[in-house]
Amino acid sequence: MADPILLERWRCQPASIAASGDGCTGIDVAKLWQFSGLVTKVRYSDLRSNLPLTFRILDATGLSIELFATYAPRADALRKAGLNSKSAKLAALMKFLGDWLDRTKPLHALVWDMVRHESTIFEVQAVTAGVASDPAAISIDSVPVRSAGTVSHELTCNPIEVAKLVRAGGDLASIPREKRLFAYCASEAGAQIRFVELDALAEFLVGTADGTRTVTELAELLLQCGITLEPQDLVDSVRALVTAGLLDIVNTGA
Amino acid sequence: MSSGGSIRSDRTMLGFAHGPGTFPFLERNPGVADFVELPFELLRHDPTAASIRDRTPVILHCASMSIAGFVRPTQATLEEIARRAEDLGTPWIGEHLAFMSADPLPDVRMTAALHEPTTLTYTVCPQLSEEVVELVCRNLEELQSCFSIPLVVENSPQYFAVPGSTMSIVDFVIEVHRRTRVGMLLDLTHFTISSMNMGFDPQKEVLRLPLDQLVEMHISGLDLQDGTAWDDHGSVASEPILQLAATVLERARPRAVTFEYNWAPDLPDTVLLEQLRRIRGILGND
Repeated sequence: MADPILLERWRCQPASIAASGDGCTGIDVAKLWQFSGLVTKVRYSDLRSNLPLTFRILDATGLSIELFATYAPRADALRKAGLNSKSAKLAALMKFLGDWLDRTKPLHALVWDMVRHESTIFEVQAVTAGVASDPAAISIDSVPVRSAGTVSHELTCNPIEVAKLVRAGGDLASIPREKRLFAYCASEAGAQIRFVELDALAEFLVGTADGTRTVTELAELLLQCGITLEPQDLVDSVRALVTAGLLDIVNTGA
Repeated sequence: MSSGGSIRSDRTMLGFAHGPGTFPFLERNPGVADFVELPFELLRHDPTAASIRDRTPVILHCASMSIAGFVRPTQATLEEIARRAEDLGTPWIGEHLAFMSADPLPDVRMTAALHEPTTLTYTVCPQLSEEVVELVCRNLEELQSCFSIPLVVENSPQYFAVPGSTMSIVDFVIEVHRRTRVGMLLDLTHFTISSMNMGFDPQKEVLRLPLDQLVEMHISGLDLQDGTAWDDHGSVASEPILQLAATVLERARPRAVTFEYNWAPDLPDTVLLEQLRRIRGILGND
């Protein structure tokens, strides 16, 4: 329990238990290993405020004990290094989940969706929204840029629908699964964030608006992808994304 | 529940374990609870948490005394528990019938001994044997002498057979209470978890406990994964646990029932209120 690496070795090499000379033979190491998962999960309870749905889904899918037991050595190393802040724990857990989850499995993919959704909300809440550009002033010569702190994710579900279903105690297998694109950004109203579903064009704009290309140049880039859109028509899309807070307009000084 | 004070009531009081969602819930639903159970370890980490005494009566709960262990808590820890208990006006001090600290861990990789006691940061069910019963009795006598406020001890959940055990967890609990007459904190979820993992009938076995020593009951959820039941303060008590509560409350009246829903801040008010309604109904406190 106090040495997760040793426990992992005992689990993988049962013969090493007797060699330890601790009189530990006879202990159910597999159960002890699972118990270390419970303990680690409890130590990460402070993340539940930010990842409530993730934790509920991990429990409902029966993944949480195994996950946290596997994660225990990393959690122990983090703790011993004094990295006990919520953000440090969240970053380490996210990195671990990225490797550990088998996203070809629908329930694992659901966990990955929800942990990214909830952790992004936590991260974006810490971002201070800048002063919004004036949508009315946008033209084909404007240079859009992704707003500071804007994050987008491709998910396999709509997290709002998942939240409703989980809170109602519904069957996770009944969640409609399809590719969905969402963007998150800070709002001017303090801790609130904006959460917007993107269509393919909005995804393109949020992904390529890097503050170096004008709207006209973005239309040309679309054309290279086989999509014909007049720059003036693209202005309307950029304007909608600026209004939503996902894009800003670079002040070129012109 | 708008001001602090002490717990002085003849009826069974209902309260909640302290967690991130506790006070928001109690503020949205004034008057539904009589007290909040506060962990000593939180006070150690954040002494300002003691200010909740100004808002509500408090019961102090501990996981630092390692009652069933061979490593005694430091004198400083015991003095701090005593001071906190006096300051908070807690009617008793809850502690786990478990161990939390252990002898220094030999470093098998370095073939050298470490010198600091091992702190597990989580309570662990001890070996269930006569030797440990005697140890617990000695520890309890010594620990109780450090406090002017009575200790009550809480049954552990048993997740697996502990090597060297010679008795069931129910017999272990019975023996400790029989020999020490210490007050009982019966965690119904722990009891149910032990019954599921070790294979006994909780409705039958609970009646063997010395319920005349019952002081407090804990109620929380459990989580069944891969064939093992685990403690879960993030979900609410299931029907079998509430039925076990009914069985106990038909025969005994604890001074307090504590809902331990302190891991998850997002349990809906309606769900928590329903749990309160169920226990009030059993108690006849409607």
